[in-house]
Amino acid sequence: MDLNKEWEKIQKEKFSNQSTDKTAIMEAIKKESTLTIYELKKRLKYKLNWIVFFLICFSIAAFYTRQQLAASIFFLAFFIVYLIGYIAIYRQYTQMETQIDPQHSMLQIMKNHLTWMKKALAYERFFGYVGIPLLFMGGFLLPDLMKGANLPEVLSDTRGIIIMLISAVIVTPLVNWAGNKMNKYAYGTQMEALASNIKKLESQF
Amino acid sequence: MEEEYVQLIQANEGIIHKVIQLHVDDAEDRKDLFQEILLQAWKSFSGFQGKASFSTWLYRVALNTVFTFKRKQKPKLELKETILKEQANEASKSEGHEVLYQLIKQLDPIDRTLISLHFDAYKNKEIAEITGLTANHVNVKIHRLKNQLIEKLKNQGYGSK
Repeated sequence: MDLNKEWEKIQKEKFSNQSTDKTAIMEAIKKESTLTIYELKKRLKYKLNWIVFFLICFSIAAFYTRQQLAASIFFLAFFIVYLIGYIAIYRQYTQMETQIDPQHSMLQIMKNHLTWMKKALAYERFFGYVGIPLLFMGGFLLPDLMKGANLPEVLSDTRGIIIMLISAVIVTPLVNWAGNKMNKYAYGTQMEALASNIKKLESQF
Repeated sequence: MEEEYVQLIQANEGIIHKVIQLHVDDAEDRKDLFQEILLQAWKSFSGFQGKASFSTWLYRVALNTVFTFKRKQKPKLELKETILKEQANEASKSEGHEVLYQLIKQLDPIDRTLISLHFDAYKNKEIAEITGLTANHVNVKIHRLKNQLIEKLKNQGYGSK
C-alpha cells in the first residue's frame, strides 16, 4: 500500500466535496468570535467597567466624609486598592490577543492562550477575594457615616461588625468557590487539552 | 478586499474542511469552528502579504484556530476510542484508504497534525515552522508515525511500501 496514494484518495473522498457560497462566508466574517480568549477578554472588560464605577463611588464617599479624616482615609485606601487592581487587570486585558496570528507557530499560540486564560481567571479570583470584602466593608461603613456618625462609633457597633465579618468570611469564600467551580466546568477541559498538547510539542519523544 | 478574500477561500476551503474533519467529530462544533476559522482568516487577511502561498497561510490559521477552540462537547475518550475502533473494524472490511483514515483519526491531535502535513507534501522545515518543533524532531516523529501506521495496516492485512 502506498500511503501517499491512499492519502490522495482520502482527500478526494472526504475533504474536497464541499463548497461554501459567498453569502455564508460574508456572514461568518461579521460574526463575533467564539474563542475562549475573546470571551474571557469581554469578562475582563466588564470587570474594568465595574471597577471604574466603584472607584467613582469610593472617591465620592471619601469626599463626602472629608470632615472625618479617618473615614476619608479609609475610603481612599479602598480607592487605591481598586486602582491597583484596575491597572493590573487593564495591562492583562491589553496583552490578550483575540486574533490568531498565522505568523506564530501552533506551540506559541497555545502557550499564549493558556497563559492568558490562567491569568484572566486568576484576576477574577483576586477580584473575588479582595474586591468583594472591601465592598462589604464600604457598604457597612458608609450609611452610618453619611448619617453623621464618626468612624470609631461605627467600628464599635459589635453587631454590625459581626454581620460584616460573617458576610466577608462566609459569603466571599462561598461565592468564590462557586465561581471557581463554574470556571473549571467551563474551561477546565480546554485548559487541560492545551497543556497536554504543549507538553507533547515540547517533549523530545 | 472582501471579493478577493471570498475567491481565495472558495478556491482553498478544502484545507479548512480537512483540518476540521481530522480534529473535530461533533457536527455543531464543526459548524462553529468553520465559521471561526473564516473569521480569524479574515481578521489576519490584511497582514497576508503573499510571501507564502495562500493555502499554506490558511492551513496555519486553521490549525492555530482548531487548537485554541473550545469544543461544546466534552470528549468522552473511552466512548470515542470505542467508536473509532468499531469504525476501523467496519472500514477494514472495505478499502485501505478508509482504514488509513481511521488510524490517523486515532492518533493524538499533535501526531495527527504532523502526519497530515507530511502527507500534504510539506517539508520537515515547513512543518517545524508551523508547529513550533525543530526540523530534527519533526523528522524523528514522522518516521516513527509512518512506521506505526504501516505496522497497524499490516496487522489488518494491508501491505505497504
